[in-house]
Amino acid sequence: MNRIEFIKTLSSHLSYVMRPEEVRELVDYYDEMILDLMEEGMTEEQAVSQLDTPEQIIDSVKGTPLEWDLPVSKKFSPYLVMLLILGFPLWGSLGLAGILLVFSLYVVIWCIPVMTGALAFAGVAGGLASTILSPLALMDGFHIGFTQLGIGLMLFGAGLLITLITISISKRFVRYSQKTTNYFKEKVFHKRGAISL
Amino acid sequence: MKIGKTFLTKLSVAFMVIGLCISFIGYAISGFDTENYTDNQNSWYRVVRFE
Repeated sequence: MNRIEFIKTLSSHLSYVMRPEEVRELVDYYDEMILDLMEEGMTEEQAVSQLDTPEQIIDSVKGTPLEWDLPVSKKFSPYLVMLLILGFPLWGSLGLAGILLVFSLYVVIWCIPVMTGALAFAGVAGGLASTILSPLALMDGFHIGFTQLGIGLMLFGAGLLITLITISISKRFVRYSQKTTNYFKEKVFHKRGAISL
Repeated sequence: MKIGKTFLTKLSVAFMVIGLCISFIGYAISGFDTENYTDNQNSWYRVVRFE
């Protein structure tokens, strides 16, 4: 089964048991997984065979609890407003701590691609500079120019390789960040007024 | 010719191997002696330095 057939089968079966937006999310998730596996060198068929079959996925999804939206009163009482204002030092600082915690999570996640990016830039820039300036170094001695040319080529090659690694892992980190953001969005916004059964 | 990830990976490895060979030849020409690199090593165009 190729990727398109897998996605078509999965989405058509899922549409009977899930809401359209949930179907889209799940299909996108499996599509990304297939693309990841293909990036690692597998063919479409091999990548699809690594995943569960559409029937297995549907069976596992059937046990997932549904959400029911219940009406929530939107009236604001003056006491609640006063309590919110008076309690601001408490919930404000806790909220700020939460925001900073999430921010630090993103900083930690992005440390690795930033570090490899810096190494890639240093390698490519240093390699180019070393290679281009090696004819000048020849004036100081044949062995110096040769060594500088060799080290320049080595640095450039290493920089190019690390650039490829950076591009590859950055794609993954973008996906991780999107997933993390969606998770927090789901936790903070979507759960209001919804009860899981 | 298609320039893909595999081609670039091979190219970068080739650069590193060729660079290693050339720098080894350069070091061999110097007689495997770092003292031969100390002349004029503070020039702006010099990358290889031995302090």
